[in-house]
Amino acid sequence: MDSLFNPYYLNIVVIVGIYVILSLGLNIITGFAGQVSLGHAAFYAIGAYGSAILALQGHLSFWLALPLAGALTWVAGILLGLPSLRVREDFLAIVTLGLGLIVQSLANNLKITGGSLGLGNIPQPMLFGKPMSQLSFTTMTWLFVALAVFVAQRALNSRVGRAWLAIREDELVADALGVNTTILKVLAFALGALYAGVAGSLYAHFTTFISADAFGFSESATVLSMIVLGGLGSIPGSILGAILLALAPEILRPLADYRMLIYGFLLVLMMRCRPQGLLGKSTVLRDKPRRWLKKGGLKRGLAGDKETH
Amino acid sequence: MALLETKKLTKAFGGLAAVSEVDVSVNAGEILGLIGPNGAGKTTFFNLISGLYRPTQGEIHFKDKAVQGFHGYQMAQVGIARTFQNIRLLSNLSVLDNVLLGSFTRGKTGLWGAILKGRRVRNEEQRLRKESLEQLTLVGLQDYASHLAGALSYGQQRKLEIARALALFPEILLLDEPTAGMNAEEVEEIMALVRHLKSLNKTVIIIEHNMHLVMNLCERIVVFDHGLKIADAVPEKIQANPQVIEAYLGKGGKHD
Repeated sequence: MDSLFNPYYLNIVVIVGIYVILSLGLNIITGFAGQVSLGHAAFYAIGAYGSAILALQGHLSFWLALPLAGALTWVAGILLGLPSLRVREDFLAIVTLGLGLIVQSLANNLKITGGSLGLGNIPQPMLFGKPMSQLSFTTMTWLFVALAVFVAQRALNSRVGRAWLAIREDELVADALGVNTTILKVLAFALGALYAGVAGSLYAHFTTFISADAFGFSESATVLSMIVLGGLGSIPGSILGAILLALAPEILRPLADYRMLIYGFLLVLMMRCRPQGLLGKSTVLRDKPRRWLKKGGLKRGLAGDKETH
Repeated sequence: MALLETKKLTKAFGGLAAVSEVDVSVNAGEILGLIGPNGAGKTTFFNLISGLYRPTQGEIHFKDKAVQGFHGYQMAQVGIARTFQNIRLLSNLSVLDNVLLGSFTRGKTGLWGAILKGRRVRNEEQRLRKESLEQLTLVGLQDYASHLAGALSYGQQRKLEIARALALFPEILLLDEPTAGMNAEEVEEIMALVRHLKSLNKTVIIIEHNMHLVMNLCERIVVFDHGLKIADAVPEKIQANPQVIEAYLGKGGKHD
């Protein structure tokens, strides 16, 4: 039993939890509101660096640094969302890609972020006057996951969530129905950013060392793959996608150099065979013929034809 | 007093004026028909007064307030709701969700309210659901509330779009070819629905090619041709108007 709690496993469980929060956040932006973002790592970075700097230079405890990092990324989400959400679809993808690169190179070059050396010695969270054990950090991370799921669920099943879905499905119709699409898109962006900020803060205080390498484009692309794999717009899907893709490199570790090859191949296969994702709601268009067949629509139709002709 | 009034309303795409200096006034409680050949500018006119297009020139007054340049969502907020010529439902969402979306402007819940979900938010959600079901009942789709909107038949989808627009509790309802592609029976149902709306004292503007419907339902008809308003009168006068007949049928050829 002891082996289950060994540091290597707990380490993976924490990292998986952090990815679940990241995916849930991006799922709000891309899955609910339909705004493709290729720069989600930017908010992850802002949360991580924000929290680390507050703890290192501001001497704040983790318990204050984390909510402040969340607030910071919320504001960053609004500030970056306002200009970028003026453009749509492919253009938005490029703009967010650019944002991600800008934030990463700022992290790589600013003095306050430690430049390319990164920031080290980030204090571990204290619990009852002692540094948190790895087991309690793991528990805390997954409590944050639970909170993230709860918030996403509540947000989705509300007036705001419906407006996001309307924007995703048909922005013009959303507008005609009285939805201020700009404000709602920025709201989705800000909430998704807040999630990434919390994830970033957890990451910084867990690893105690951060550098710009951890927040590159590949990180954004990984999180995007997670929600696409799990099923865009699906909360259980985002969780499953994050768990699978975060674990995949570990599980495939024995395959050494081949693992990224197989990882990539699995993604391609997935998109070919189940484009709506593992747990994604299939679109009506795809399902129509299937449901029709199930109802015996085709058979009945053909039989009817035979009878009349 | 006119509820909605346009003054010299113009929309030009490049050099082409799709709607050109149109003056139309709509009175409260009136069923107004908007007819004209294809490309006459009817839908453009709807897009202008529902805020989806910005006018190139001219004014739109709603309840004596200048509203030209308003965004679509602002027009929806002041009370102008519409349906679309080519059905634009959110087909991946349920029938009820589509109507609930129509009630967006009547709710107040923000993001944080939705997450905390206090009593006020729950009550609002319940009220909106109840009222949305009422709109569905009005168009006869109450039994389909949990179906996917995309799975409805064509005629039902058209009705759902009307229910969704009605969920805004609009002051003016714009119906863009509500019976296009429908069979005679379904047309009758739509006519009954519009009559019912009339009895509720709603203001409706209908773009329609079905002359039977227009002549029977509308109290007044405005005719567009090439972006210009060429007639504005009661149905009997429209039927006898030579300019209208010419617009529809072309100039009478001379027989040798």
